[in-house]
Amino acid sequence: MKSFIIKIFIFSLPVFSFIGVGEYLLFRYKENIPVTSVIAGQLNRKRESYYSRYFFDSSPTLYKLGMAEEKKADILVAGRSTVLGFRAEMFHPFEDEFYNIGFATVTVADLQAVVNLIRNKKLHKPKIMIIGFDAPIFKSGPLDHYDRVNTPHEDEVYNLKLHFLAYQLLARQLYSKDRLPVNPDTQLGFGYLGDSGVGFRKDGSRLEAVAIQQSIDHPGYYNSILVNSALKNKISPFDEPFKMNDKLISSFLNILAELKKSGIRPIIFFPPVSDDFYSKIQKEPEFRTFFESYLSLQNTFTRMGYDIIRFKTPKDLGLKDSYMLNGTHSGDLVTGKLWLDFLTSKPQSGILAGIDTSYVNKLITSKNATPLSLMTDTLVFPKK
Amino acid sequence: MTFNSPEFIVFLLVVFVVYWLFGRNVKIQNLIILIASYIFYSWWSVKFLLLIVTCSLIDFFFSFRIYNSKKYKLLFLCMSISLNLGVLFYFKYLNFFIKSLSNGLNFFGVNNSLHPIDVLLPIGISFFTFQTLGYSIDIYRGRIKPTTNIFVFLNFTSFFAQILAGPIERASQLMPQFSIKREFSYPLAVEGLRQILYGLFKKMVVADKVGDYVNYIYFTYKSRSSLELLLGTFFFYIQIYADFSGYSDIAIGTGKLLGFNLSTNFRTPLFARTAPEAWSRWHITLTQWFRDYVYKPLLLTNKESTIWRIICILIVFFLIGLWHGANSTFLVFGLLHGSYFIPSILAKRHPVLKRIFRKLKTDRYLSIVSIIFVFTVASMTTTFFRSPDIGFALSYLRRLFGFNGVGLDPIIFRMTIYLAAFMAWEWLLKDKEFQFDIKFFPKPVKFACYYIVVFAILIWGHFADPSFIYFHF
Repeated sequence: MKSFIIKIFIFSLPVFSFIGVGEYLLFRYKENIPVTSVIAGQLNRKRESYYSRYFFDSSPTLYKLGMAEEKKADILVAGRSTVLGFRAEMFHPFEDEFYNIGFATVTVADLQAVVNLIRNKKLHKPKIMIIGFDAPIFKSGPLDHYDRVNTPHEDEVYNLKLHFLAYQLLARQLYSKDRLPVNPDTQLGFGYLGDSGVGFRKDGSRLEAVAIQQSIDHPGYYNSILVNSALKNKISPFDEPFKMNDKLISSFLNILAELKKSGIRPIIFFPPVSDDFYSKIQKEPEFRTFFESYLSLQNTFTRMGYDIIRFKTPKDLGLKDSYMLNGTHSGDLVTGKLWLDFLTSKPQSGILAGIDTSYVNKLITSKNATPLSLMTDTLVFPKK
Repeated sequence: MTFNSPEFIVFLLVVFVVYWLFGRNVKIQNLIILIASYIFYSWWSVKFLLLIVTCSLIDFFFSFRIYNSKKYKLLFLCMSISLNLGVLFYFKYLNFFIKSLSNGLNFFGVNNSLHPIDVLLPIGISFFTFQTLGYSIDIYRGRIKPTTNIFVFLNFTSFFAQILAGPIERASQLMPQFSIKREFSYPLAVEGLRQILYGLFKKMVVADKVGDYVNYIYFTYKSRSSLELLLGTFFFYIQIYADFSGYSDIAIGTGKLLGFNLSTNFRTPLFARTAPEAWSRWHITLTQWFRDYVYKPLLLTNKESTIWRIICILIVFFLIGLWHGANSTFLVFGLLHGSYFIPSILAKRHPVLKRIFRKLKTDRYLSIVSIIFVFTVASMTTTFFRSPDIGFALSYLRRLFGFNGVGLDPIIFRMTIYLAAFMAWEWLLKDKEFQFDIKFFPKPVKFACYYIVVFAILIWGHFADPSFIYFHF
């Protein structure tokens, strides 16, 4: 039996080598680092440290809630990917009190789940909660009751089968015409190779390095083809029916009321869209009506006494569409300006009163800043 | 944990080492296998493991009652059968029954509020049930004596190598192997590994890959040419063969690694020349089960009648269809296969037909023609197996026979070439116990084959969706 095992072991050496090389390459990509280690790595280093997730899912819920648990932030940003432009610097000197869990909370049910975690003391209770949901979230759809927070999820790094799938993709590079990118720069990840990748910073905001580099190399507005076509062809997230879902709005209002009651100040953010996309909305009568109903929520919330960061387009801010990442996602400067306008629109109290608005203003008017980036941490530098 | 998962490789390695290192006597060996089997099954569901253990214990108890009782032998057998079929009916057929009853009542204008119940199907239940039924019936017939060793019986009902999808073993075949100490045999272990390797190849490289193409063709069948639809049926026939025979190879290979000889379940059925031959090579243990426990007893009531013989065959294939699943598509699939037996049954009485069938077996060219014919008909019949309902299957076949051209998507053509290569390999080794029995190859060629198969699995193997088609049955 022993000789059998020894022979099998020797026979398997090429297989082990294949696995070894695969794991080594995944390590070089900083791909096979578990989410818990990513969190520890990001929290323990002063500088930003990015990790990649090209082959494995970046498990945003695991990652973001894990980070939020560790950061115990007093200023929490929640919502869809449209809130990812809120960065810690915009809350100076309270950078350490800030965390953005955007993208881990993509539905009202997700938001409710986060509020439940706070209520049950499983998540630190913040003082301020900025919540940003774009229009499609308030219409009926398959994701209405989808709650990512409570849906069982695994860190895919621990899924052996996916390791083998990753080796296959790596091995196919030897003969495939469709080469993988040299760096895993096109997928969402924690972005170890953040100079060309897309990744979350330690404050939870997202570094869009590819778009930033593109906007530096070829200034202009490029990235709206997908959203424009989705709107035109009525595909997700702009799919029918274009009708406000009263149940969702009612749940959202209950969440706001619960937050207020528990001493958390909610600020509702209405994410901007590009002027180009806004003009496309005007040409789609059904969606336009729906979008107007969505915008009318601003007045409803204001009447109910909630703080609102109002919907604007770049033009309203004196900017161009080139300051938008795409039709529905703002760059750092647009988000920064909207935030600054909100802060200076009326006297603030509590932690917000302590925010150094002149510092925020300096950031967004800095010479280093580019349309999409404040350039405070990114590894992308203008080619001068 | 499926046979084609990395977890199973680790599990098997641990069991193998522990089993041969510590299995000093038959009791310890059986205990190790029993623990391993229960761990393996509880990986799927602890709840259903309890069901299987409970049913096993009840069957164990009934086996003595059946054996010892003189007056109530038949009663105890009926009780045992009722229990096993009752469990199977509840989990597998109750919803089908409720749905059919509701549809029937609606048809006659009777409003009803019958709704399917929320029940999960325990994996491997059909295989487990048939194995234990066979045990009870064999005791009743006096072919075997009930075992007094509970560990032997529990191992017989739950051996992890074959609990999920067979082979459906007979007690007379498997139980004696649990009663004696297994000695490690180097050639048997190597053969087991070879068979596992080929099983993995068939499942992960052939079945799962071709499965993607089958889905592609079936999902877009309305825009496909007749040639593509015909290839779609061929692909699916090969897919289920590679999937299930791949599974069986891994099961039998695993048995060999632990010193067991499990029954052969497939013998190149794709190259059968007649329908009966195809079924004597496809899922052999199930076919034999139905032959011995259903067909033969039925036939005995009127052995001389050709009509009765045909009816018996149709009953058996109706049940085989039903065994596959609670859906009318499987019933049609079964009945069609049953009807393919009619010419061979008639041939027993008609000299002309008899001569034709004999010629099919002896004439080389006629053999090839009949292989192609049987393969084509069997492939087309699998349309019912693959389709969600009869309407879909008929619509697919109508389009196939609508002769909508011979256009061929290049990717379907490419897959056809790959599958032709696979079939050619199977043809070359068709007389072997399994089609990777290459011990007679020169050593360098043999090792080259091993590494080609291993790296084909690593590079092209399907790791994403691990389930086997027959797990649903």
